Amino acid sequence: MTNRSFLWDLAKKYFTAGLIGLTISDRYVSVTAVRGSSMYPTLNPHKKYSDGFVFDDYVLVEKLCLEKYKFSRGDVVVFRSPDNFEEKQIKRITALSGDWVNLSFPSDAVRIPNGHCWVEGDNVSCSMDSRSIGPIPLGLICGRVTHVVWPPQRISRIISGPSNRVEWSEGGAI
Amino acid sequence: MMLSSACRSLELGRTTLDFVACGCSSNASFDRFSVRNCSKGVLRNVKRGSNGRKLLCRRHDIWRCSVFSTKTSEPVLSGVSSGPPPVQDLTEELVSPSSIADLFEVVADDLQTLNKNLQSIVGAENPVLMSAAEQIFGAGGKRMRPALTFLVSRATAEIAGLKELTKEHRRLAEIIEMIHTASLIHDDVLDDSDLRRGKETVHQVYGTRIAVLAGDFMFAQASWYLANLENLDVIKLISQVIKDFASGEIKQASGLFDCDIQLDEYLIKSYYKTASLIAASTKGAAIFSGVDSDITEQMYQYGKNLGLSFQVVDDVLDFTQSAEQLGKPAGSDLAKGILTAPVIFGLEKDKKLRDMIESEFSEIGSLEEAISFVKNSGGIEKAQELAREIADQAVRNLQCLPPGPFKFALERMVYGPSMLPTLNFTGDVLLVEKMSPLLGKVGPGDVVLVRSPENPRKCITKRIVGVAGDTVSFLVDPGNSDRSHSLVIPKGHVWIQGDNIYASRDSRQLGPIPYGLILGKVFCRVSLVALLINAISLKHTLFLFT
Repeated sequence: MTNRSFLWDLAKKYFTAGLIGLTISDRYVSVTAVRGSSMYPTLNPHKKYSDGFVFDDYVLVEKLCLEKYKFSRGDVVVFRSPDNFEEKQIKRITALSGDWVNLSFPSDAVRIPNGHCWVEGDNVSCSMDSRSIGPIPLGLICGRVTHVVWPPQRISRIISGPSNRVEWSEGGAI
Repeated sequence: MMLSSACRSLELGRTTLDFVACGCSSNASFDRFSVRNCSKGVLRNVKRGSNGRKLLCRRHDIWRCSVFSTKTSEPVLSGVSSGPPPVQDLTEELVSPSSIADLFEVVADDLQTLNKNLQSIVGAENPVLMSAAEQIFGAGGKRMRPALTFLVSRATAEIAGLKELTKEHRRLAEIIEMIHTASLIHDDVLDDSDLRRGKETVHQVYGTRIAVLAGDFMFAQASWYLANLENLDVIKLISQVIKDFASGEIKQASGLFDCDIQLDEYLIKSYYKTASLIAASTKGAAIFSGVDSDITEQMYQYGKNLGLSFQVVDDVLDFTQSAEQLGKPAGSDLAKGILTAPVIFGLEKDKKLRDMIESEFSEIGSLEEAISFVKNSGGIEKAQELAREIADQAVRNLQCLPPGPFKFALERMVYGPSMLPTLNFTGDVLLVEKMSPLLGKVGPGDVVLVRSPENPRKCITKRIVGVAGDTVSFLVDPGNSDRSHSLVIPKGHVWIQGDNIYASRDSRQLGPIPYGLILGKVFCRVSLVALLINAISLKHTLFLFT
């Protein structure tokens, strides 16, 4: 009998912990792994093909920004890929709605529609971002990356860097 | 101890609340759907292969869930809890008659041919009559009845193995449109109206005599062509219709301001006025396809139910739409003494309404009072309910047809552009299930909650009409059926559309929506009455426990 009630208690504890963990991870903050090197050197600054998963960065993703969807240029965000909703990508926002972005090829300027943003990876040479898929709706964003939490020697804050892509911003000064 | 048992009953209560609210208690008079139907909506898998097929939708069981009022959506089966409660950008889903245009895409060529033939068919015997006929044919019009004929023809032709429509099918559609137009000309004379389809009426331009004679001429021409079809069943069917038109008008004229009118009299009158022609055309189309008599009978019933539901909705719109939308003052039927479904239902409740009607609105302001009485007595909701029941019956009549674009268009005719305010989301409680999009199980026909691509803080409720790989043809401007666009939905995106294509901001303006923006699938609407009843019973349950 005591064994059974012990198991039952344990199960309840795990279930409660699981629920709490799920809620926190969904609403407030979670940790996710970074794969690929499109955000080199900010994230995953190691040589490609030479390291395993152990050395991939793990980052802290905060979800409080999803209350108001107020992002600034230079935020690193996690978003669902528009082509495949199951995939999540991490890139930096370089321009917001209303801004005009200069495309190098073909060379014209694109205005970012309302409710969208322009994302780019820091590693310009190998990054699948808004330069190929266009501006992405803000609604696809799942959270903002604030810190690197693993590996231990790389624990640091992610700085919201400046952008150099915006041609002209409706909000005035970039 | 007490506290925990109270909590447990609260939990139970809430689940029950959700389900019973969804299932609708038997007390509430409007609700008629069971929990089973709602759960069917949840468990139903929408799995579709996507091989670049033409736009196809599936009618789905959202219609089976109950109707009506109040605020925000409640996540029920939330495996993953949401963020802040979504702010809903809800459009009022009053569907307008002309949103038929995109449904008729599948028979657009047939309609083009019909238009050309109609000009020539009227005959060159008398130039005045010809120009009178041109006046009204040239004004356009939705060509809904011929389109229905073509849709049924093509759908039944598939069963019979016919590849193309026969000459008889096309001639039948032309005859139907002529009869319909002739009745419109005469109606305009009787009502003394100035405008029809945006142009001046025949009797305005040519005078009453020409108008009456032109109408007679068209009836006669139609009969002559009908006789030349040499199919006795169809001849009997259609000639009955012309008699029914007159019967209906006479019944209506003799029953003005008569408060003792019963619902079945009203339905018979509606049948004569509207449904008779539609039923005859659908049955005739099936007869010419050469299918069995049970299918033709089902087509007859379909046409009849469709026509009746159209008429009831038309009568409801006379009350609910504003003067600008209608093109004439609201409540004009009531002013003339024509008592329609909402009024009949309202009369059951209100004695004062009866007095006002019997006084024939002699007092100034009594018409407006009467209109607001009808609105407050719930007559409009009951009439909508009636229309929905009849529409459901119409869809059941379509079961004998093979699935395909034509059957789908016929189904959509019933619920979509049949002017049923199908999903009046404004202020509704919607039960949204959030697991399906994460599992990839939402598909065409589902009503979903989507984050707006223009403003991520707003959530909009629309129907998924196509998935990645589908080809979508749509009209950019629903009022102008010439400019139609076609595109293939890219990978990872869906096409959403509101049922009211006039007032809806959807994929036609926003483009295909990434699947990742879908928040959840709407599977139920909750009746306020059921909610209240359950709130009261929940309180009692709590008292019992504590």
